[in-house]
Amino acid sequence: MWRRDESVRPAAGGPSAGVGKGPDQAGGPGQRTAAEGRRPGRDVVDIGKSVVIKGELNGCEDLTIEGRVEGKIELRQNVLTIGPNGKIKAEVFAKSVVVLGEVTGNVTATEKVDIRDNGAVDGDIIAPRVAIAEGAHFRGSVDMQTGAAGPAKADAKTAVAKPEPKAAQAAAR
Amino acid sequence: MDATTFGTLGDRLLRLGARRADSGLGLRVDRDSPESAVFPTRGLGRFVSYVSKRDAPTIVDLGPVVGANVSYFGEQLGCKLIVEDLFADLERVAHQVQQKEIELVSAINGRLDHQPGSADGVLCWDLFDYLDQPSAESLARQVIQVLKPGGAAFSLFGGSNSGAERYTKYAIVDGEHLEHRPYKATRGKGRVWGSRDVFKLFHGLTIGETYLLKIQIREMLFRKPQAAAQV
Repeated sequence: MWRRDESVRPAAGGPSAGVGKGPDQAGGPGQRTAAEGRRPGRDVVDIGKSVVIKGELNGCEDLTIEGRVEGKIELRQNVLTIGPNGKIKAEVFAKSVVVLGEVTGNVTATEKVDIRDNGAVDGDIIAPRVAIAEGAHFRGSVDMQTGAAGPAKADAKTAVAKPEPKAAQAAAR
Repeated sequence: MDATTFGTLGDRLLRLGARRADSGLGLRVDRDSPESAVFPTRGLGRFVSYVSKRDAPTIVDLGPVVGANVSYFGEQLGCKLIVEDLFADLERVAHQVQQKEIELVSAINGRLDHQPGSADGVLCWDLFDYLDQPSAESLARQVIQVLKPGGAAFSLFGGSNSGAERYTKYAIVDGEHLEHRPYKATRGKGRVWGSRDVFKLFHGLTIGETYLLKIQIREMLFRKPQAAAQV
């Protein structure tokens, strides 16, 4: 059948496919396609570093971006990973966001935002959990109390009214 | 007044009045060490006690992002934290070949473009030690403007200038301890601020608390008077 370690093809291996399940995800001769390599029940898609997307990107699969995306990314039920080569200029909505590359724009996650070493975010983060590694760059606001389901605030530099932060936190526990 | 002099009456009175916040703790105290070290703090605790009483507080952090601080203010205290990292701006200016004062002040002018009266607290850390007079005055005006009435600003002022080219990240260990994490910079601290100069700088705010640490750092808390609400 398929080998587990090939379930996610590294983007560095060449310009991998765009989003989705089309035949353009196929690798070179002798390689398995991403679709063949996926584990059942957990789809992961790569956007290779030569890929540029301008517009809206929606989906219900985990996604790793090594290329450039400008516009809007919505993966509300899935994990979005911005790889070390990834450059995003977009509003991002996802379940979890892991940043190893560069993001310019607001990031909203229902679970967690994780900015790793050398990752950079210029924008506002709304998420119940935020982890920022030493060596990461961040400029913007972090709001861990507001419900992350809604869209990010258009201008986070204005005064914000937030619903019962501590009570909500206590209730969640 | 020569800002490098610590012998003015105001300074002496301040030193006498300042409470020793770090006595009796056997923590590493080597402020010339390039490595991280943990130091006690009293001012931070007071700052937190001020802002945590407020409803859904917003804190503006002028320093670089520190994961521990994001967790502390965001998760533990339920604050909204806005990270500005003005040290990155200083570094960018310092990289310009022919640096002049006007360049620094122009980088600082209008930098805090928040709505006036929108922040419950401002964490200045030791940023003012790296600024010249015009840019410090500009920044102080912006800090005063961005604070809500009753809001607090927390700032550190060094008692000496080692000349070392580094900035420091201040990571909150707990409400009573800060980890100082030096990191490489193109420029060192510019000046030592006398207390009288600090008072002038933050004219319009009241001096809430002042603590003089053994490591010759003054922690100062400023508060915006409630009466300023109508201004």
